[in-house]
Amino acid sequence: MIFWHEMKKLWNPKVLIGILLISLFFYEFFLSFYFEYFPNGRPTADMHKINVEMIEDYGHTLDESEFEGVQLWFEETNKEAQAYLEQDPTARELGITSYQSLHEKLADAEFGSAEYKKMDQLYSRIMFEEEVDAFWEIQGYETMMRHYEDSSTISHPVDGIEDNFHSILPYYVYENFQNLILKTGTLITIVVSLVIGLVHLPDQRKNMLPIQYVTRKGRRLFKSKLIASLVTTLVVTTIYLGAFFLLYSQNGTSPFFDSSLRSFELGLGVMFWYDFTFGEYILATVTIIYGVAILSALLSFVISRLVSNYLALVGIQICVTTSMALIFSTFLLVRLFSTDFSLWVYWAWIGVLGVIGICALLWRNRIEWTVDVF
Amino acid sequence: MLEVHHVTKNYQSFTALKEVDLQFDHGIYGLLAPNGAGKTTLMKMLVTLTFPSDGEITYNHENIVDLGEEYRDILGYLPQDFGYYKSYTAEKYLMYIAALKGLDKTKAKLRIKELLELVGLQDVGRKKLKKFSGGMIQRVGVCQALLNDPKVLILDEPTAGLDPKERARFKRLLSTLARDRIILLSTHIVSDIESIAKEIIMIKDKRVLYKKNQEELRSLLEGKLFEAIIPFEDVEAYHSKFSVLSEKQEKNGIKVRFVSEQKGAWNEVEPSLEDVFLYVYEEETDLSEDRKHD
Repeated sequence: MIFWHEMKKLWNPKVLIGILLISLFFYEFFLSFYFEYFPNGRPTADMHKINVEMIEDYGHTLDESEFEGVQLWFEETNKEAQAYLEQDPTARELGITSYQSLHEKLADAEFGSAEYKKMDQLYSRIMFEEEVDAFWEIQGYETMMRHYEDSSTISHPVDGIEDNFHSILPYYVYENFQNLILKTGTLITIVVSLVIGLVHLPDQRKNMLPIQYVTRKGRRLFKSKLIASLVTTLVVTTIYLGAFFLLYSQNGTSPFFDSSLRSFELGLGVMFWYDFTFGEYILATVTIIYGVAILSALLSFVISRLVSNYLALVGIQICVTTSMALIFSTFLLVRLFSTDFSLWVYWAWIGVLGVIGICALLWRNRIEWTVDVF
Repeated sequence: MLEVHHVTKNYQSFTALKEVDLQFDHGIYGLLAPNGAGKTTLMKMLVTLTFPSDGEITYNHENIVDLGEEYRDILGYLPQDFGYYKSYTAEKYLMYIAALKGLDKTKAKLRIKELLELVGLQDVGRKKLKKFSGGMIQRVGVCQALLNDPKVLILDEPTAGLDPKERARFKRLLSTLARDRIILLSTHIVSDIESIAKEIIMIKDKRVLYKKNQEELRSLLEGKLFEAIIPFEDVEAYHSKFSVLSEKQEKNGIKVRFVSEQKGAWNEVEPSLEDVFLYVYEEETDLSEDRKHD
């Protein structure tokens, strides 16, 4: 069956080694950071712990009474910090009894004075040498509680979005996913463009067309190659997304999958047209990636048939993948369906990109039946 | 029957072939013309790789473009400098072409074995094509063209790269195959078709000049071809007066073979196909000679 022959040609070991090397390079330089450093430092790591505990105890939303419960946790943590300070001779000498007083006195002290130096040393010892959890957690609580309180001030700039913004979904979780999915989507686009870009050109360069096109299959080979290209694209995209989610599962964000994007932390920075949960949002980005991968495959497929040398192929492919990366980073993966743009803009772009891919394919398919082969 | 009706082929403003009319029945047809005369253009139209700008080509009275798959199913084609995958073995390459030709796997395997034996490559079927010599590659090309046992076999310069022994074997093979099919073979080497072609087609000035059997072609020079041994200093004069087809240095001068409309004190000789070819394409030959001197 000719489909398998074309598949074997696409899955050429040399190309596979090439894309593996590119992927490793891409992972090392653009992706690994977001896996290895999540949550990134303190107090983000402490906030993460608090957020997960809140979901475990209160579910995916935090109402006013539950918020009072969180405030009690905060008070408990403050007491732990106070107990630590009571035991500490320097703190006692400086008259520091709480985390808040440490901050206030440090702020009030004259910079460079002996008292300032002592307080600064105490602060550094607590926070960076001994890394006392209670002090970091206080910072985390303060940030989180401020966001919760501020969420009541979130205005609803767009008609139709009415929400109390009580969902628990921290910004750093969303931001981390956004960075990862943007880079993964770009990598998939590059890989698909590279693999599918080689569907026609090598045959053309090897002068295979005069033999292929006079066979019974003839010009229908174009369709067989198209099917092999689309199957390859789906397999490559699935493998890459599979590997991505395997790595992403290590980030421990699954407790937030059922939290709405309209959370008290995200609502202050970004608003979404749809009331997606974080899990649904992930699915939406996955759908976009499959769609753009297919679009890249269709464009590469047509380009590969049009160009006559590898240099031209690489040049055009760079333009295509750069455009895709720009579209991804502007709105199609980053801040997808956010109120940064009108809702119709997203759907219009999705429609336009779909039409571009289909038109390019139909145009070439029509020409294919009448084009002279040399 | 394969017929070419008033076919013209233009590439933008350039005309490659003009108002060509041809008919092919069973047997071997030699398409003889110098390089660049339009042989490949005609062949590419006959195999539907390119399409006539005007006129049509029919097989059994139906347009070959409309017949599509049905026509290509009975077609075998060996292009000049045909493509192959260096990393494939001969068998794997032929299996790929067999799949394109719609042969099922079992049938294809048997047919490949049979054809590799026919061209003397049975022992190297599992070797990669990158290890093959030019002649071996050409034989693989012949195999791929014959995979579907075609009724119409079109071969563009098929003997290129073959040594004399392989050429002889190839000619024998073609004679056997020609019994029940149309074979069109293009070449600029007269000896390739001299002994086997039923008819010779000559293309000149973008048109078919002759489509005749060899006897008829030779008769064009009947009583007009002479040989004479002349002194060196007379060679230029002969060139300006007659169509000199060949020169050969002899002990006592130069032996010239030339065409003259009038008889003289020269030896009249029997014309060969090569003489006709050289005579018909005299201008092209001279031009090519001039270019060489440049």
